[in-house]
Amino acid sequence: MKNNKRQQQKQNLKTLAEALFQELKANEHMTLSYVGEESLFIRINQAKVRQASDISQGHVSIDFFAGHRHTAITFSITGILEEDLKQALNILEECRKECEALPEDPYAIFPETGENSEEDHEGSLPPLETLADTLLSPAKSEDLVGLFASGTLMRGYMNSKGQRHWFSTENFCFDYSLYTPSQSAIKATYAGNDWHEAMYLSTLRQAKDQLKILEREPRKLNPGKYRIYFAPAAVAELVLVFSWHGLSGSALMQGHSPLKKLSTGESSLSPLFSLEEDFHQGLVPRFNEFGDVSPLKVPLITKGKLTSPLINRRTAQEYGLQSNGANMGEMPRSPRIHPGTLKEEKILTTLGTGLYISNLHYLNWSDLQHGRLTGMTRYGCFWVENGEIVSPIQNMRFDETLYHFWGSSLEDLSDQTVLVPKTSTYGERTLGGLSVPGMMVNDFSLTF
Amino acid sequence: MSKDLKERLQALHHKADWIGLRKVKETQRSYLARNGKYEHSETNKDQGLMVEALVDGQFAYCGTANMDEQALQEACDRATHLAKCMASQKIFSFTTDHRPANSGHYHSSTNLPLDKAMGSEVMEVLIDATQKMKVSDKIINCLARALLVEQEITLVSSSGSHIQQFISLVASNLSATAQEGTETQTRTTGFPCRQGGFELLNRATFQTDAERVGKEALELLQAEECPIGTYDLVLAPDQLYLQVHESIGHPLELDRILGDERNYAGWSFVQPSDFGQLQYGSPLLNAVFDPTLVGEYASYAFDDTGLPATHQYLIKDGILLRGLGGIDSQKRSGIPGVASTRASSWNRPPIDRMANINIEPGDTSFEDMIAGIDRGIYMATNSSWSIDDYRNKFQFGCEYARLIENGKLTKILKNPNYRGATSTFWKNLKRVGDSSTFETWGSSFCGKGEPNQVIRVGHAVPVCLFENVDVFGGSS
Repeated sequence: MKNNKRQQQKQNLKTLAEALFQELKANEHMTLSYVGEESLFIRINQAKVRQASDISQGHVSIDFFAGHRHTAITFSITGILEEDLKQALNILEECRKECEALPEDPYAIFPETGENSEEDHEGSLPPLETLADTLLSPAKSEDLVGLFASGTLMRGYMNSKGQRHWFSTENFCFDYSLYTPSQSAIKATYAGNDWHEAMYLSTLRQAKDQLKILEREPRKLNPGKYRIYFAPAAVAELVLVFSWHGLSGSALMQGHSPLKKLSTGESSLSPLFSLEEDFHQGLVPRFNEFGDVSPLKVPLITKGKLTSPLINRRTAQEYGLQSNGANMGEMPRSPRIHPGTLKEEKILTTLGTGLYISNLHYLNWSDLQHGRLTGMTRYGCFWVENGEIVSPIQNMRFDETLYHFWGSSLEDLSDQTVLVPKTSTYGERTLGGLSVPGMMVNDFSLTF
Repeated sequence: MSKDLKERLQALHHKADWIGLRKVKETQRSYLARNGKYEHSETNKDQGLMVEALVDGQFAYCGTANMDEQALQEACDRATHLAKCMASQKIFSFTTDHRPANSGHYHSSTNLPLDKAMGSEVMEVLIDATQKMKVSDKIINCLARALLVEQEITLVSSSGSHIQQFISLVASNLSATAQEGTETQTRTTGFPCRQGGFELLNRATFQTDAERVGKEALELLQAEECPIGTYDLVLAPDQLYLQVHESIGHPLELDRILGDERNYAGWSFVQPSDFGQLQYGSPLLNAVFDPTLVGEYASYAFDDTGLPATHQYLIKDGILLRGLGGIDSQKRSGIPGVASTRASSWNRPPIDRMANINIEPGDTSFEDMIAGIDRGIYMATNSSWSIDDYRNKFQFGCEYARLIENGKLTKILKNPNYRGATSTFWKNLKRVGDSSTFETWGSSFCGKGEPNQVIRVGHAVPVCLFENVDVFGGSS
């Protein structure tokens, strides 16, 4: 997306918001959020193109308040100011009509004045005309399957108290797997703002090298407890599912949190484990749906103790807590686990005999109250003996509590964090990623 | 959008071998009440148009929310250009035969149209339900939610297709959380979902269900932990539907079997050569693709390539017959499929999806089923699910269970879970409930595809009995 088109979109949104705010009556307030993108998607199987799509979309969400009554309407916009303005004014009337009959919202979060922000991140993306060849010619001898996504992502927020935020970035993500003829696979991701063909070829070469070891006969494991090194991508999967209820202040208050025992001191985590929100990398906007700007760092779990769950203004108001700028869902947007002392070159020797797990798959809470998770191993996972990789393993199911793997059995974390990009494209492309190290865990339960 | 979509298609200038336009307009209203008060109300109004172009054997897509004449022409040009750019690396050479001409329409059956439903009326029913759930001070959180969806899909193509479908959906959920000391238990109604109108939000039903989940949440606080061991397992329809979804629906998707999903949702243990001969389950297992069942969540008349949708056996008498794949996957694989190429909305290309995947009822009443079990467990209402990337090793958790001893339902059990492998689990199907146990369920949240898509699916199933299943409870 050309920069001038992005600037035009920003200006259109401002004009739209101001026109709506002018229509508000004395007891009315409004926030307006915008999510937009121009994205190219290329779906690949067997190093060939399965489907390709080019999507332009934008959605405006209006949160409307009439006294203490509140409703929200999200609508798709066309990008043509006159049309969008006409629709937005109709939506405003719909909001008024809906609010008239709804009960009051006891914890309505009204817009506030506050700091403004504006960030535009330019990128350099590969040209469409040669893209299929650029991606696939170097992989023509491989069974490559995955998704290339690129383009511009935009987020905006404005409210009737005058607060303004804007964030846009131009980026790409090539998330792919290489398969062996015996159906073992390696996962690789190349993502960023500026495409460099040499870097892509380098990641592809690394993935091809890793694939060779998967051609060995896989080892079938028995259920039991294993010493395991989880690579950063596997740790990121644990953090992603943990983010689902795990760090939410309202979930904790309403009996839906795995951290209840941590909050009451009944259980503890390892002093080696610290987790925070860290916005320093600027991959995601710090503002949320309420216009609140998160601090650059929000400590959540510090040396095994719960510092604070994520608390948004609504939860804070209901339970008399202090908000820490969390979003509506109280899910981390830019999580970071503190690194430990384990050096990359010492991982296998420190592991000794056990498992090297590169990825996990389809995680879910199997017992939320006890913080127990289940899921599967996936992609390149290896049996290691005396510090040497012996063979890949057949996939295994695990069922283990976080009080164990981030608690008493956490031996160390690797000394470097890795940014694992979020690759979700439900509805729209997701921003950001998770900064996590690898981790060494004892006595981890594999069940089936 | 003053002109008819068919006329607008005819007015486009293009050099594609085939062009299709799919316009989707959807209004989704969601309401949430908590602890006797308003919690949230939200409406999502989405509309846009996807242009599908076939050039040199390659399909490509361009989606836009701007549907004026110039924007539509630009979208057509972009889809055509994209297809041309990708054609040299295409996985399969498609032709115009893969988009046959079809015409028709579909309309969900409704008594009270959703556009007449007032938000305030919905909220009143929900607030009332949360009050009914609080049967004790030990109930610390009560939630009631409702989802009302109206969707209109119009499909036209240069080969002459013209299809219009109007879908009206209602889903709801009641949830009561009880707490005493360090014990916390949540009981819900699951997520009932149907095609229909406002008549589905019946106040009396909500009140009855609300009191039941409140009481059962309390009962779970006092319940014993689900034992560990190998048991006969009876699954209620509000758990079995997800078992069907994960271990019959997904593994039979032809695009999975062809490998398209391997970087995301995974592959399948089912091989192309298995169709027509694999003993998938016991001879009691009859699984159907049935988009014709009135009121089921994913009923429709045509898929998003315009293929007419009809009732088909996927598994008959335990033998695998047919895959879940639309015309593209059928042509690529040579495997018989169904009309199931669907997109989550205008902004995603259609892929192989489930629609209504059902298990036909058998001839055993619930009472007879329980009476025939010496040592078993009855589990109801899904709470957790996980399955491997070949759709074989699975683990499910439920909210509520009862021990079965000597032909009778006895103690209530908490934190029930079970695990197994698809390849053996369905072969251990020993009894299939009769039509009195047959219930219609589904999900609004089936995720799949790259780029990712969430789609609505329906599953109508009876109560079923499985032998020799590993069950276990919760623990730290």
